[in-house]
Amino acid sequence: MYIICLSGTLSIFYEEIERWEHPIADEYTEFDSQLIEESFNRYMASDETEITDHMYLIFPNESLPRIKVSSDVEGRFINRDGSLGEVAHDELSELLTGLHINLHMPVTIGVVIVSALGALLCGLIISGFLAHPSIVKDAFKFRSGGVGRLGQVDLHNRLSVWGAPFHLMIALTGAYYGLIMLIVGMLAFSIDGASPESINEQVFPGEPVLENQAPVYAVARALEQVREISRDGKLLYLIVHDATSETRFMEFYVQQPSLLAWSENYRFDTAGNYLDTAGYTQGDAAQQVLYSVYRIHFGHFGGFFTKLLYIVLGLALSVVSATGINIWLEKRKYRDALNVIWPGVIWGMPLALAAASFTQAIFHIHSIPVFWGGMVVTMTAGLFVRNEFVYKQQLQALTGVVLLALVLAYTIKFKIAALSPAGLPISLVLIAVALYFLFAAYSSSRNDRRIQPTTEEAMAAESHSN
Amino acid sequence: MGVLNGLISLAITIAAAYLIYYSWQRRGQAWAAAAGWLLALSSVFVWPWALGPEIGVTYAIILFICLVWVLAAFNKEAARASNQTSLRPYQRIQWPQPQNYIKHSVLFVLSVPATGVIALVLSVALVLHLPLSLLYKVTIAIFAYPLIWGALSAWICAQDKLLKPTLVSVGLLIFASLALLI
Repeated sequence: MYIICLSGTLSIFYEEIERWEHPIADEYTEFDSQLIEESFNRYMASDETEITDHMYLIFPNESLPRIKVSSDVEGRFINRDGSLGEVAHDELSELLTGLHINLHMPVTIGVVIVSALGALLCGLIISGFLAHPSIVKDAFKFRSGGVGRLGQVDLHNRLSVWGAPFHLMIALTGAYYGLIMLIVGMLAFSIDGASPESINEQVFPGEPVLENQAPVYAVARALEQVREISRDGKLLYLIVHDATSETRFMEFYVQQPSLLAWSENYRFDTAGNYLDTAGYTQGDAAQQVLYSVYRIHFGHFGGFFTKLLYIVLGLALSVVSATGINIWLEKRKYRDALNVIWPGVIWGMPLALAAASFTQAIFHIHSIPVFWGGMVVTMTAGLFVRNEFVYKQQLQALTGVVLLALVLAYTIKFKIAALSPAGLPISLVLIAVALYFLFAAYSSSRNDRRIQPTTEEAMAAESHSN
Repeated sequence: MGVLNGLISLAITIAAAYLIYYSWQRRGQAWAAAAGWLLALSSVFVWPWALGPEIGVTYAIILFICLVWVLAAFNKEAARASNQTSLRPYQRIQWPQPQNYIKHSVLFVLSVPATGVIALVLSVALVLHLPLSLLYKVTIAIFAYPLIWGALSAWICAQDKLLKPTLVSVGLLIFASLALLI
């Protein structure tokens, strides 16, 4: 639960992370449609391009002011002059989104497991309320600090009780992705003559059926019509569906102001003739609710300020997940391996992420094995330390050092581009986080000196356990 | 105008959070609590005025939560010396007895995958007979499913013995299956 919560919180800024990962791409928000059309067709016709079922043309926005063409497996930036730019790297943002969406498992299994955890989170929220005997009396009570259970209990309860509406919203919208197909399947099983496809058609707009579509795309002509139909809309991207067959068509995703639905979609044939509008923003209220799930879950509305609020709210949910286990560990009369394995998860995850980011961003080493390898190491290394407080400090200090090393190596690798608007903001955030970790390690090493058991106590405990 | 509406909405949310905090600080100020909650509720209708209905309602909720946390942080009490206790003894991990493995395995199966299946059947059975279009049935079922699953799972975990939750689960499954098939 903690891993999903923390990775989800960081994923809120996946666009900014993707931009940071590759700071040398040409950045611009205004573009010539004709130039983009030529670039897209050049990319689609290139021998180097592997055409997959879906091909993408991603338009610039304030978080990611660059144009990218891509398939399901790789992508390239388009330079301002229309030429094809460098290969686009987004493995780091994919590390986070993949961790959050499917825990890096095969998608069909991973999404269901993560969604099941969303359902169990609903249960934890409900049971948390029922198990709280003095919810009103303690509404603002907050005994913080120290190493005792009270601080953990208050932190857990204050964040969880007040945050419950948000947490429930996140749990329900998170559970949606993996469970929707189960619901559709069960409904199809229960209704005479229904099939999952027939139910899907009533919930999600059907796709146009075309034939003899040439693999040359009149993007500029279609774009002109999109701008006419949706004057206030924010252009997100274009997907070419069935790109490997002659039934291919273009679909433009355009976000509508003041609506939470991810987008309204406009479909065109490859010659740029308007076919239809999907109707994601025009359907029943129930349909609007279903199409709003993504943006509510990830906080992708209302700009940068909403993202910041979601970071705070998401971190709070991560803290609630961590303190829940902390409280249980503190309740026990003894300490054992679990007491040192758990900090290896809590404080090991930032360290494993920092290490994976370093190897990925600097050396393009595949980050998923580095991350999970790092997690295995941090979860087991504490067994040699046998003191969770010391181990936590070590992990915090190490995370701070790795983050500083990451920023340093990044600056050396990308030189002046590291100081560009694409590179600098995230680097500054990483430095701030690194300093926080170093300060936290230093601060707790001073405070926790008082609680170390004496050698005699430790030996007595050891002989007692034997 | 949009900015002004936003500021008014923000002021209402701040006032709501503060009044609730004030009533908690000075016990017995029921009027403040009532006013605070009333303002919090009204903010759900005021924010849409500034940001549109969908984003507005979401903002009314998330900003209120953040402000309440800020007030709780203001109320923070420093750590007490009594919190600074010695570490409890560290011992080798105690592996459960074989019968505990069986008990916890059954508990896991019952509270996670089994309740997942029961909740799936139950949520579809509940919506199937509602006089609504298929789209609404899907929408209600998809949000009811995790709630039923989570609640049932939490209830099972809270039971001392496994017999009662097992019987209730079987009963629910039979009831839901019959409701589906009839």
